[in-house]
Amino acid sequence: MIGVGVTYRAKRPPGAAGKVFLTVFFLFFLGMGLAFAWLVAREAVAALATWTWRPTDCQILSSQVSDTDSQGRGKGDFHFRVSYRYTFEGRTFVSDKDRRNPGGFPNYEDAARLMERYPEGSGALCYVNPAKPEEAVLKRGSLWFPLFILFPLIFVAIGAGGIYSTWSGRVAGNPHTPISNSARPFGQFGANIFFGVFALMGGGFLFFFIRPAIQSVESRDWPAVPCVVISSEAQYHSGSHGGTYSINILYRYSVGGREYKSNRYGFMGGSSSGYEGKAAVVRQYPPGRETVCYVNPNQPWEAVLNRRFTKDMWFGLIPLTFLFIGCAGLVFAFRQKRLAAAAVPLQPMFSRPAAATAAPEVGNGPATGPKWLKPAMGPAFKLVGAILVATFWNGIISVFLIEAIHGWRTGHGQWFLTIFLIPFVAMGVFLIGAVIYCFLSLFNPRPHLKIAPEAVRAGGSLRIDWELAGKVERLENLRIRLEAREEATQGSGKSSSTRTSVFLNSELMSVTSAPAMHSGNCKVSIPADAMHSFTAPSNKVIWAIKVEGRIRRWPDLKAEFPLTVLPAEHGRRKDT
Amino acid sequence: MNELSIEISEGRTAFEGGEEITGTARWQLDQAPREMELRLFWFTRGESNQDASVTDTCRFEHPGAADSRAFRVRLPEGPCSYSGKLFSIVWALELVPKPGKDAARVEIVVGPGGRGIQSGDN
Repeated sequence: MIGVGVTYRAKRPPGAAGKVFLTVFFLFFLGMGLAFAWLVAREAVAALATWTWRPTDCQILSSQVSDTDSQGRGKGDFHFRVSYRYTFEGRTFVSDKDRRNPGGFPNYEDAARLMERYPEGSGALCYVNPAKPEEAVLKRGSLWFPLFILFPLIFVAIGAGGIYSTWSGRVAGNPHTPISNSARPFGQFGANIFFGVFALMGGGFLFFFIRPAIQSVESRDWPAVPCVVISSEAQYHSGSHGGTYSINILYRYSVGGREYKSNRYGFMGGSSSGYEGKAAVVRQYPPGRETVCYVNPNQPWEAVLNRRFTKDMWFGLIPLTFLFIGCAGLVFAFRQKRLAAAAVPLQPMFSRPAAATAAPEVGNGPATGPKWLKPAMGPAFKLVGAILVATFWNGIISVFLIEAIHGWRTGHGQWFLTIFLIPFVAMGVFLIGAVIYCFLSLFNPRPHLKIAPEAVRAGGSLRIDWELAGKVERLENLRIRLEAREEATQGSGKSSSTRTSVFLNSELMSVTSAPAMHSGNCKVSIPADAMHSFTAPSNKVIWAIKVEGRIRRWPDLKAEFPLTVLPAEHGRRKDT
Repeated sequence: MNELSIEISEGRTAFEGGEEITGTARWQLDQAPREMELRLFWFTRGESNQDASVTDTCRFEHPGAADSRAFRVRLPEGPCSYSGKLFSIVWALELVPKPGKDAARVEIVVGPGGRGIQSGDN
């Protein structure tokens, strides 16, 4: 045996300044994550602690809904004001806390629901802190709340992982670090986490839009009940990026001889920036106005003035898109994993016919074919893709565009928003143009290619038969080319870019007469020393037959048919 | 000071797809590793994201702090070693202790006739 030495490969490590920059960058993530995690953990521990508090009988002394909190402060929310008496270890206490951190509700009925559950004079169960018996609650903390810590922990993991990588050599490029470790499924795991979170967030937000839609359907059976408007306003909510408004109409109604109140106008709650639309609704319901509301017969404290579908429910399409992207990303990541595991086509890309099991010929692939090739992307697929992208882009842009247009129409035009939107709107127009282009391409002649054998080794040859369906006479010319190219992707997500380098471009035939375009055949030889097909997640060698035709004043015919080129026969490589 | 090395039989560095690679792995470490593994793998080299795939491994049971073991791994049919404009495909053997950050690596060439493919060849 002869030693062949030891070689190492090293990525260029960042310098001291680079390491410091990376460390500061990741420290920010780590710090923010830890701070947020600490806050969530502290709350979670406190919430979970209430489950160790002792259940004790109590008497509700007073129970009401108020527009001020226990300190007498009012911010437009509704508060469940309760007082109850309980006896613990021989001592009697009075508490006014329904939860650990009682806060206001924007919807009257959320507070009313608690009032119904804990009516004045009734007996109930409260939970007493044995270490501090003067502390008690009616409702224990949520068991779901601790799960929120997962969100800041993602930032902690990014920050800690980044710092570790910076100094441990994974990023810094310790020359002794095994490259084969990168074949581990870290990327797959990361992609699963990223797209999983995307899908979960999309699904979670979608719930907030679907729920009102379901309530809208369910409320069709709710009886109409006369009601009287007590107060109405387009309520202002201050925020860091300007204020928002919500419809706040408080009304009273009677069911079974008992009076109830509600301030729900529609099922889609929340607030948004537009004022005029909300003010117009509010003007229809001045105080004292007698109208009709719809009341849930099973829970009469639940009512609504407008039970129809509203325009803002369409915003549910946005989280639906996130859900779609998340799910598509998970499928893509799974597919990438399969690609990494089978980067080299040792079999033809199509299933081999049972009869074609004879010993492979020199220079030719093991399968004899023939086989019809499928285009890399059909015109209908391109059109659907273009529509999806254009709809997604323009759907988001339209929200801001409508806001900008509305501002100008009402004399409150915003120059900054308008100028900021110009490139985004231009992109939206371009995408609409792409949809039109793809639609027109549907009517182009369709090429069909048949090859034999169905896969070829480097150094082998194959026959290509083509047919063109549709209005071939519209074509001014027709070219068929064999192309081999490298594709290399750098970065990931939005910042990724793919470079292409064509290393073989061979014209197989070119005709200009319509009869010759209808059908024909040609033979193509694959160079013996050419690189075979190779498909890894970020690096590829792609072989394809390209069919191109020029059409006057119409989108040109462009179709690509991927081809499988297998590695050359070992031990029989032709020298060039 | 940790030392790891890989010796391939007959000092070969060029192979064809499907061939078997034999040799000896040697190491001298400060303390005995929990595991020692020899990996046959390819990876891409270039400005793009790195792809890599381990195609065969040889795990050495009960490795000592200073030890040498014979190995035998088999190459698949592909991919061939490749040197392109945007990326290259490199084959290598790597000796990896666990735990530990050190590794010995020997790059080899895999392809028809024991030669790699250059994108400018055709």
